Amino acid sequence: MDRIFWVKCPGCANRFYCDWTLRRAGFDLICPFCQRTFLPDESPELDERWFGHG
Amino acid sequence: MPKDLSGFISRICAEFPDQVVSVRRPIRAAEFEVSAILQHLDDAGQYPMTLFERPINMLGEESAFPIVSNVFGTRERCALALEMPPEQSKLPLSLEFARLERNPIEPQVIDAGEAPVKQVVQRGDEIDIRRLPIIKHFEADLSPVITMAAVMKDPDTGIYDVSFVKGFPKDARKAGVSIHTPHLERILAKYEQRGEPAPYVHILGHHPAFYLGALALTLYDSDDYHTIGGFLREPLRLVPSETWGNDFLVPADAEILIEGEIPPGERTVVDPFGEVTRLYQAQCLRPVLDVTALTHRRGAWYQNIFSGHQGHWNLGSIPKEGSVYNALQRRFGIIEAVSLPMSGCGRLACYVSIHKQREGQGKEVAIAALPESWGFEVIIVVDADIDVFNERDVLWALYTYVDPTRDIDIIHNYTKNVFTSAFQGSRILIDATKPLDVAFPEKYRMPPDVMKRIDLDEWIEAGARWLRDRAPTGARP
Repeated sequence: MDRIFWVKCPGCANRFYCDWTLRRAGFDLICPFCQRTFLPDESPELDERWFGHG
Repeated sequence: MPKDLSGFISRICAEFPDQVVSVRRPIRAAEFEVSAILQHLDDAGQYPMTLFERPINMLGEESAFPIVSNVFGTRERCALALEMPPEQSKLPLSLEFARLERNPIEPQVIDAGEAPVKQVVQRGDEIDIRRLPIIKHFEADLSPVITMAAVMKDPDTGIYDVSFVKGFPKDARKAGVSIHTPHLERILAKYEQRGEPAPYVHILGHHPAFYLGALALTLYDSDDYHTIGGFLREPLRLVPSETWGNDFLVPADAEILIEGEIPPGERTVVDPFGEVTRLYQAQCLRPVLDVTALTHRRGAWYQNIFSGHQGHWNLGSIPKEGSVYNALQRRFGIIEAVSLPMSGCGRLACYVSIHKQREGQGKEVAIAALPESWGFEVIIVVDADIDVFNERDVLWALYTYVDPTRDIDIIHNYTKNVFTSAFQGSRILIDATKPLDVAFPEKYRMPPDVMKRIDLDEWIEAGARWLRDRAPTGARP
């Protein structure tokens, strides 16, 4: 599996993860729990740690 | 009668009724209830073919289509699908699979009037894919997901490829489609390079031999419709599609077909979805499907794979075991059996048993097995007296025979695994055969002549008769 990052939904506060290609692709993410759409940078929490990337 | 899913279900119900369970109550497919039933069965170690007779669809309506899941739940049922006796469901099944993939049969084209899948035809505004009983499987899935396979056609050579895919319904006639097999990706890339929409047909329900044939490890330029015929042991019946006519043929004996086009370059957000490894696939971008037609049988079954469970894993292991066995046996001549175990999701681990003749052969076989599948993370080689289909046996050999300092090797800077994050670019090879180059303890055994002489059925009987015979007379039942 390629690099992922975790986000927290600004609507329902549930967390899910996305493929790294979505990090700056300009596409809205879709929360699987409440269907809210948002950009990664709108997430109140981002976890971008990855092997060899801190 | 041509082979189809309905016929297979009828056969299992008639001949193996203990392998079938039914849910007759209305059940909300899009709200995890179907997968909750399947998970409870899995937790109990039960994998019957499971029929849901009254599923509620995404629109909150009772769907016209009953669901069947766990068709591939046991190797015995997979053997039956390939016309083999269930007791030959270990290596003989895998070897037969490897034989069938080299015996294609040319398909047969029939008229639409004869094709069961054309009994009901919907186009344009008549279509709403959300009327299908699409299952939401796991808590963090983005949406209900259509499983099973799709067919696409190479625009240059005209060959058809059938591969497993996922569909994420977006509205009545639009879905995101997760195309993640090399052959379908290659076909889609060709259409995108031409700037043309790619024809795509989702095949929801067919005889299990159809799907097993679709998993055959064939070259890109072989036509899957021919290969699948070999697995069905009869010509696959095809019929012109609604959208492209004779230019795109579709399986006539399928249960449900969703025809559509993938616009070049268009992408939509799909996933998470609980995948084969029991991890969620990360949210990502995938192609868009514009649905053009939906055709089905009257009374069609909606077939589903319970992702990350035994049926899904069987679909990974059975197609590969035979080819790995054949490749290793051609080279070494000492191979007893090959298994891709459930603990490795039928993809990540490979157990090989050998008739070891000299020290070092376990490692040689492990090295040779590794490139046989890009999914392998761990190869374990054991002696021939270890049943590779019995994980307890294999782990016993691992814990009893392996000296970590010399028998475990880690390969670094290997290809990154697509299935999991843990094995970034490493692989593990384990020689769990008994050492031959040192004075090593012997595994115990019973005298074979005594084991052969003592027939269990003659010697034991059910129940606690000893207690009953010794109970006070008045206490006897």
